[in-house]
Amino acid sequence: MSAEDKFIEMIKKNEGVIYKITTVYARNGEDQKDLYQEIVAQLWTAFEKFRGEAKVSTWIYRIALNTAITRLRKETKRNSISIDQAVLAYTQNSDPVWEDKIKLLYHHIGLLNDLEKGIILLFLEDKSYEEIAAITGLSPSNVGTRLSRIRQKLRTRILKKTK
Amino acid sequence: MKSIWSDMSDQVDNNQQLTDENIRRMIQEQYKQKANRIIIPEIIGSLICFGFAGIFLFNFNQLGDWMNMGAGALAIIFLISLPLFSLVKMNRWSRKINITENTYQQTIVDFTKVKRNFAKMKRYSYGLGIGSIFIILPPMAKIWKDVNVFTNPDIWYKVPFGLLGIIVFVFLTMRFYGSSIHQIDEMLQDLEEDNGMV
Repeated sequence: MSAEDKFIEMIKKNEGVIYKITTVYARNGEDQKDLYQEIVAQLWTAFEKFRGEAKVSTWIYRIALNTAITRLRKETKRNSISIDQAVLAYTQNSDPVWEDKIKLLYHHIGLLNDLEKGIILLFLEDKSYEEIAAITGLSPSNVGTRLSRIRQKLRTRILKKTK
Repeated sequence: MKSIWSDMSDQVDNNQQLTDENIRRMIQEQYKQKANRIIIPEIIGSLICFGFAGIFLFNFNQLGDWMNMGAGALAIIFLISLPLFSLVKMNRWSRKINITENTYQQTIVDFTKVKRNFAKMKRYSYGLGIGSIFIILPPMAKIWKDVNVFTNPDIWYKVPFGLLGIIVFVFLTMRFYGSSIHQIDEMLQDLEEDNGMV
């Protein structure tokens, strides 16, 4: 199996992770497509040097999050390949209440600063404090402290909004 | 919160959309993205400056006396060196961010520093912009209108009106970048102190 084939297999196994990160960090549909593409490109660049020192998912999260926050956002439309909107329509749920809840959650996560966004995203993805610490570079105790502050912030804002 | 996210995650993870072809095309796209690393307006602005420097150089003989030639030489140096300095700096800063090796927090810190340096540079360059009017105006007036501003002081009476508008604009812009820099510094301090990086 060539390196490219292995990479493709890895991306297909983890495409949901990349999708969720782009949904939190992108401003709109076009931005999300651009970011998705950029993350895949960065992962490919790093793939040659990856020797399995960390778990694949940890490695992907770290690079994807780094890419998401360092993009030089362009006002003009860039050359992005035409990923159909359908490709990014990963979730199809006919329950409007559920849809509203998800949109509300995404909206409020989007209002957090970059570091908080990353931490809460990893927490929601069921990463342990140690894994979050490994990806973010914070200490596990710092992760715990920040996480409780972030959760309190989100809780307060979401409750305020729903009232 | 976790249960909503978990429901959504289950759907996402079970709903594979990417094809091999999509991924191959994304990989190929990376080579085109490298050209976009430097901010486009900075490149365009630099090209305009180089264009004017070229015009002054090409028409240097028309400047006549030593005062206009001196101003012309200064203008050429100014119009070439400042944009080059800015482009080189920005390129160097963007390369400092190691996306593939850094932790998430280190990337935020590095990128925040780049934004701060960029804001500082923009602030000073706007300030320098006012001073550049006095360097660029003499050779420009001589080449375009054959007017020697050093022997024909009448033209300077017209300058203050335009200059006033520019000064106000530059003052407001410098204030904007000043407050951006302050916010960035606060953010950096929070990141670095909290994790013992200071």
